[in-house]
Amino acid sequence: MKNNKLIKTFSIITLTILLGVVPIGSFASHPEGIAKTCKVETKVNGLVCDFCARSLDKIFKKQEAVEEIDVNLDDGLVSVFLKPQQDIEDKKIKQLITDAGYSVVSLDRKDCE
Amino acid sequence: MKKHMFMCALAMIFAISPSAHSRPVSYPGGWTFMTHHSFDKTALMVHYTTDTKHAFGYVAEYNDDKDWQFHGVLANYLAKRWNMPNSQANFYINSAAGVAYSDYRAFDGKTEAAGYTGISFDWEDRRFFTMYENRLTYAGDIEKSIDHMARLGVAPYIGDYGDVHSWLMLQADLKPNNKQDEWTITPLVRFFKDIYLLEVGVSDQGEGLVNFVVRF
Repeated sequence: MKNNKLIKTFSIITLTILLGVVPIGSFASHPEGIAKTCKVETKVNGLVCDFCARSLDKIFKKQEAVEEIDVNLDDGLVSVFLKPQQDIEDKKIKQLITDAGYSVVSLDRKDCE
Repeated sequence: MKKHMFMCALAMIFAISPSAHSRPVSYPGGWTFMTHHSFDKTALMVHYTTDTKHAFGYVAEYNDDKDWQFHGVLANYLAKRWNMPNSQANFYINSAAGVAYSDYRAFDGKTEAAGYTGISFDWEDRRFFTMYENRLTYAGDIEKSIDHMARLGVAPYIGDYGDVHSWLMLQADLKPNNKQDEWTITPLVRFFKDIYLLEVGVSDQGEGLVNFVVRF
């Protein structure tokens, strides 16, 4: 009798955990969530100084569609993360990088629908 | 008269302001605030960058050497930028026009129309930095001079974006009209993080150097 109660309790806990963990596990394998974030990666020339590269941050953050930017000084890469369901034309991104003082070498879109 | 005009034109080509410690032209819509203190000068500058090539603002200077001050409107021009895979170089023309005031000796309370102009060139990669600038100053009877400044710098470590970056630099100033030594050598340290830049040094004459820049 006591064992049955124990088994029942164990089963309920296990089921609860499974029901909870499976969706969490599914979500964890897609950290971007339901709406994927579009990343525009741009290779630029002249990107050597952190203090000067702050201009990229200032210029891109003024754009409504931009969620965040990341600058990689080692590789000369500027990554622009766009808000879900928002976009900026390649031509506009190139213009903004030129305004910030750099020369665009190439532009690549990742996870963009 | 022709000779005078030629000399002025020549000086316009070969002179510039000390504002190139940071970029004289920032990004369109960007403001830059700078303070500068060295062995012979204390200055404050504020400028606004209108487009990728031009910045305009206000400059105030107090020159310790001959006890005179200058207030003017500044105009900086990015003449050429070279963006290379692992380095960048810039060529600027910097100018200002305004008034000079002095109560030094015979100049007791004298005010003159004044201005300066000059060029600057810099090159840097992530490890090394070099720059040269010159400046022609004209302030009527109060001051007429052509000054030169050069710097060499090395980064002791290569920081990532967002880190505190530091540079060890050696600055050489040549001021032929200076009352003291014509040459001044100043070892200094440059730090920057985010939008803030600070430089601290001591010259071979024992005078302090402090530059502070913020860009927003």
